[in-house]
Amino acid sequence: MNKKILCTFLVIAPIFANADLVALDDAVLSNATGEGLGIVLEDFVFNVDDAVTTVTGIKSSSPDGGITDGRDVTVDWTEFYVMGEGSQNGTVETPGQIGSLAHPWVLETLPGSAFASIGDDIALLQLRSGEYTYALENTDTYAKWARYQECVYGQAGCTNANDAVTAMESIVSRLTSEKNTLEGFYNGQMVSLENGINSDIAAQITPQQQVVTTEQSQIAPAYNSMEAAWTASGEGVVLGQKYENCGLFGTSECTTGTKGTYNDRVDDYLAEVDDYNVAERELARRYQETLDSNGNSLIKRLRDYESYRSLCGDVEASNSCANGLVAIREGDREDVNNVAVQLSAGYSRRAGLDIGSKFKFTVYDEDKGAYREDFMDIDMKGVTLDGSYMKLWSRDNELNAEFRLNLYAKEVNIGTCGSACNTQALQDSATLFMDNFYLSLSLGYGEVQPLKFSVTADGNFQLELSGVDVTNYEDFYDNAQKSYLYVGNIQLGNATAAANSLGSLTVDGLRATYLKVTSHDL
Amino acid sequence: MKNILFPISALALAINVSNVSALQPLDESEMSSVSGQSGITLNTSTESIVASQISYEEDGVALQLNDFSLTGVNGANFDSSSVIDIDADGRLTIDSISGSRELSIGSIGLSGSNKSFMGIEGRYDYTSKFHIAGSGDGVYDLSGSEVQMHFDRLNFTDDGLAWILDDYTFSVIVNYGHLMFDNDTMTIDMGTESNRGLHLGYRVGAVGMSLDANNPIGFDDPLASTFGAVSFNLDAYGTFKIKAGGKTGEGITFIPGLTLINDDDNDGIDGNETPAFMYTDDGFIMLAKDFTGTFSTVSGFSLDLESDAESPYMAIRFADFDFAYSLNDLVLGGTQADYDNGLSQTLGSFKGEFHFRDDLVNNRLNYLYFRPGGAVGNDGITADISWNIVSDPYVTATDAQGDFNKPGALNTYLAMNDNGNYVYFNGFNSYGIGRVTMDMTSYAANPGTGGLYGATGLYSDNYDGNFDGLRIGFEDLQGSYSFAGVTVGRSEEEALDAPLMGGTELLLALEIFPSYDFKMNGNLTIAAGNINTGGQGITLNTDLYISEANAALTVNEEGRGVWLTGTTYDIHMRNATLDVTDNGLTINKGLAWSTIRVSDIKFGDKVNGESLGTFELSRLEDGTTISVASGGAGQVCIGGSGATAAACGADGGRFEDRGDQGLTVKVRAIFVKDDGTDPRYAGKGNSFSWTQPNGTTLALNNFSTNDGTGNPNQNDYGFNVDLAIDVAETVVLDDLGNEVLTAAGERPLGFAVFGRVHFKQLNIDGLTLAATPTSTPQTLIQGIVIQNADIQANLTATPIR
Amino acid sequence: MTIRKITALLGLISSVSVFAELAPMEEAEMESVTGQGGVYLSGELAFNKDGGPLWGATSGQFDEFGSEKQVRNCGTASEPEECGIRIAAQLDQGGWYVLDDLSGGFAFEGLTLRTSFRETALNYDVRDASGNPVVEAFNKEVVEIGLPKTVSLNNFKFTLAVANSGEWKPDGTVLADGNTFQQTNLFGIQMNGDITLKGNLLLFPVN
Repeated sequence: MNKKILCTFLVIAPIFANADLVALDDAVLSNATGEGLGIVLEDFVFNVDDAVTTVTGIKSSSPDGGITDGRDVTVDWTEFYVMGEGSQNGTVETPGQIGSLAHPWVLETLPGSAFASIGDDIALLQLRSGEYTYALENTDTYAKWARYQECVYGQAGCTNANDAVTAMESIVSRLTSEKNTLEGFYNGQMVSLENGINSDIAAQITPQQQVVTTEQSQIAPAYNSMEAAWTASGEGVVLGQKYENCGLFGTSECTTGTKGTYNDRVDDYLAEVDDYNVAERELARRYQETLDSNGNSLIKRLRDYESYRSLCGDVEASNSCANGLVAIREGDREDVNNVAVQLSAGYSRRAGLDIGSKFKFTVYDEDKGAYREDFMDIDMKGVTLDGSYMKLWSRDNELNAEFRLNLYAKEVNIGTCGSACNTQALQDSATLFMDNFYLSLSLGYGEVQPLKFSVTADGNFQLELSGVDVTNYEDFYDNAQKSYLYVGNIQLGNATAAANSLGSLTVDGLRATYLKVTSHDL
Repeated sequence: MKNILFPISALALAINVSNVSALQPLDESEMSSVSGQSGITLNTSTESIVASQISYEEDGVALQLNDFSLTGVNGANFDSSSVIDIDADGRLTIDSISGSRELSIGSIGLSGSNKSFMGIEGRYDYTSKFHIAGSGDGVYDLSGSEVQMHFDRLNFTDDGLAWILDDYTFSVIVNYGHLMFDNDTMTIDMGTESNRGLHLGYRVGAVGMSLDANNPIGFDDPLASTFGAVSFNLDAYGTFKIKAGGKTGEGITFIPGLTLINDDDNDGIDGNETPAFMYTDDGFIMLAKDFTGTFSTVSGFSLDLESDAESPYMAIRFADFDFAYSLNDLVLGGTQADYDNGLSQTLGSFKGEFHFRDDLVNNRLNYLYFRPGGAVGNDGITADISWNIVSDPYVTATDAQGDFNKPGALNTYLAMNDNGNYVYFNGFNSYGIGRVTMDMTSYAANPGTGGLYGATGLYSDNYDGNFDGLRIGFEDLQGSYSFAGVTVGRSEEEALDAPLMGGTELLLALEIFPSYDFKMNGNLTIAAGNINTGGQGITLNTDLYISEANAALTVNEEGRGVWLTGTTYDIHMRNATLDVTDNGLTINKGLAWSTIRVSDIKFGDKVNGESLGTFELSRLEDGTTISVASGGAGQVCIGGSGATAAACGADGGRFEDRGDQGLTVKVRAIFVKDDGTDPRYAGKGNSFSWTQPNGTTLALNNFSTNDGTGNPNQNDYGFNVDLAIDVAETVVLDDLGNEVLTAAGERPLGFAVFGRVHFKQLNIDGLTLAATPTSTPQTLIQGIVIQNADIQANLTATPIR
Repeated sequence: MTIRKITALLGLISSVSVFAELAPMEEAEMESVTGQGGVYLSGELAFNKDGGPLWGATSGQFDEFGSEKQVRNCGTASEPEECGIRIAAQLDQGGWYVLDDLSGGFAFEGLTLRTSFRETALNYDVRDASGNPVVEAFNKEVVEIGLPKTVSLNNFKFTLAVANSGEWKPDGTVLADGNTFQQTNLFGIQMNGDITLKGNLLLFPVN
């Protein structure tokens, strides 16, 4: 694929993917060959109540650069609950279900042959949550629908499940019309567009790029000899300026001696820079002025081509547009539609969990010279976790892992006010409300890019994702799972005032080719 | 039907009596000085009585005592003196005293086989009183008779080796005994509870062995290693019938309906307390203060001599037999002086019932067939045994809280009384069939073909030699047992009327399963003496292979639960010892290695349940000790810390006093590792693996203990599991969180187990995962070290209502 | 469109029963589904209530069998505290992850342990014509652990740390590989009081 494009637009993989489909296959496969222990927590209520929990051992950074230990940060964990949906921030004991008899959490060991990305000669240990295929139940599809719906279904003002479909339709039609515009502009001849671009680049751009490169490579040696001469000359002027204190009145350029040599070097250097600039300008001109038969510049054609590839994937004679954004969004539309149909028919999703925690941090404030208390109150409502898993295996006596957290919450509310806010209105005003929160975090891809945890010799721990190289990058880019974060609506303060809404947040299709996290003692 | 007293078809005697000087004619003058009242004194002095064979034949097979001889000591004659008199009531009395004589029976066997059960040798003397009076209607009164026999030595010989009883005495005193004859039955009436017929005493000074066929231990030679002294003191009452005819054809049938009892500790009379049973080991005692045992059977034990294709055998059969016992105040450990001064702690009391019944529908019968010749050599006993112990199925009853299941009417059970509270293990069913052999064996005579460390060597899994001692062999002994459940109560009636519950799961730490079927092969060899300390005790060596076993971990009354099926258990122990010490009964497992392999852990019913996979646990221990002592958990503080009720409550806990009775078992396992330092450990180790049905295998390798000092060879503290078992009150809450009390306003009783696991350091070499049982395992975790652990679980189990 | 109307109508009618499905089964109903038998456990599980056999906070302490304990103080010099359990695991050839000073107790009344035969399971993945999740046959034995409604935690604490040795050593000890023993505590958790824990934990084989 990458061979056809020579410009370096790519850093992070493009969003082509059948990655979603491949992931599902992997998961379904594991269902068929696995044997394991099913775990279900039914009618579960967990609440720390008024038991006192403190977290110890955390210190703030030391004010004198580490000579003395920093001050202790006291963390009081005053609330932690896991209950069923509808518990109203943990105040009403509602039983919740973690797994169910038909879809339990499963702890199993599987042979590597169950997964394409793991060698057949080893086995792995997997803890996974239940998996659903029904559109309304599957967190991935439901979250997709919720992203476009933006409001939380069932709450005031959000009773038409088809809002998402409408939003989806407008996106698909916008993309389709963009694609059609491009195809129309080029009379459907996208292959010849590509060929034209390639030949122009080969004929015009590449040679000029060579020139640019050559010129550029001559700059550094010129600079070095200029610098050497400058040092030899006594560094009497700013580097790059000429000595002009020679001659009769001390105002003419020096031409002899070290200063003269230096001045010549400056000229040489400037000439090289000039050559390079000229070459660059020529390159730019070529982009602008290499025209096709219809008078479209190369740069315009390249941009259009890139847009088209993003919309449609690889260019083909039949213009099937099967692999790009259009296809993805059409697939999304199908999922969104399924969910909308089911919701509109009155079917309801299984109840999720309510999870919440409250922390109180007592820190020493240098400015005030006294301790102050900070609060954090997190409440998650209607949480479902299906599709999550953790795989552990070992290769060459090292523990490797692959991890996916697939979390959807109807609401995630983070409050920052403690006991000083004694009315609901005050509490709300200091709370960040996030609706339709979906986090799908994937770390690691089989043996190609395993997640590793280790402890360094000086007692710090490390988390590492590495291993993608020339031999396996194609597999990685084709198949590795991506991470997504959608938040349908972010609201600061009062939950219903439209003025406080920050809109939605989307991080779509994030993948790390390399990640290393190391802890340090402060 | 013959009218003869004992319908024995032929009693063949070939007796050669020599030199008996007994009756001498009195001449006229002497006779005139004899008057009728004083009776006759008969003094005998015999050189020897020899018989080449004494046999009893029945239905064509004969029980033969070969090479019988009775001689004096060291070539002298043996004497006896009897006074024969008839007293005023018309009672014939024969009172005898004898001097020391030596008995020897070369071999005891059955006709048709050239093997024998054993030989007998002994030196004994006796006193006896035989008093008999007829009442004219066929009833003879034996009251006043007694026999006391004292054996300096009694040896049971087997191929030149011997099992030796030293200083063995038994006595029978008849306070009330009537003999009646009725057609084909002779009945002995031994009175009732208030008028007890017999008093039985039994005492053995020591038990030892003679293990060198070339150098047998003589009657005057001291015994090097011994198993301690045992004594019994019991009264007996009831009836005993002997009937003509066996199961088929000729034979004898014994029908006991008697009770053995010793209750002098509870009779309110001070000063005459003798323990019912006492075992002394190097000065430390194990005794039961009081005992009651009732034996009864309707159809009786029939004795027949029969023969089949394999060999002739002596068959004892019983279609039904009921045995009920109660053992009160069992003391384990401590010295005789402690006991006399009232310082010993008791285990509490035990009682139980066993009911044997023939089940013709399923072909489960009760019998013992003794064949001459054991597994080793020419002598020994081979017993083909079969048993069927039954209980009625549970019955459903109703009370204020609803329906519940309680034990059936016919209930085989084991019960324990702890400070007035009863716990019953009910509904025991067991059946089995197979072969058990008994022989005396010697290591020197047969050390096997593999030396010490070879493939069939002493420390291998396939040792083919013998050990020193009495070898009990098992050949395809297949059996099964199950319990219906546990009940508790403040009285016996309450416990038998209470709901059945689990709770036997809490005993899994002692490897007591609620239900178990098995097939056993192998042997257990018991030797007298404690080989490690040189003192008294028992030394055990065993190579046992239990296969086709199914054990339940937790089951309900219908047999559904979690099962370990298709289990094989391969156990080997070298120089394990059993001793009574100051603290109780101590078992040292010696060098013990074993492998348990469970083919399937099934959820549901043991045949059709869902499988969770296969697991295998291998163990290697050196010097593990298990001690059983009296005294349960005592006082405990649950949910807090504190030695008194006040301190415990102040710390937020609940104080419980579980009494001073109860059972404490402490297991101190010393797990060792094969690191090359000890050749006996080669090829063995401690590991656990779990293989899924898809072939993937998760394994924990090489777990071992040490003392945490940095020196891996210092391993004395070990892995300790302490269990204290009591019956105690507990808190039960209903769904609303309120306490549930009994009708009398008391807290319900539960089966209380206080468990404690403590160790200094446990090392696990790694957690590995392999794709198939044969592929290279990959290490997930390189090493695990756990230090300074003292985990306590203080749990009371009550039925779920 | 017509189909949608019909399904919507059916959905409205059946929505009431759907909510009924979601309510937890009453205790009584549950008991009639499961088999009888099992145990009700009350009591306590405690870790190192009075310290452990290997380390003593002050010198001169002896273990049960008479040997002197090593000295390791898990409190401060002025307030010595006995140490809890230390569990260390090595994931690769490098350092060790450590769960240190694990001690404290859990007291509860009403942990039930039994096996029950579940005949049916509610499967949200399969819907019937009115959109309700289908009740499928399950017919498997499950181990059912009923959680005690309230658990009292008595000074339960632990510390998460990383170290370069599986065994704890006093400060300054040099290890076999030449490095000095080092353990870095990341954070610790302490809990004290009553917590609510309700529900049932079910365990069963799956394939």
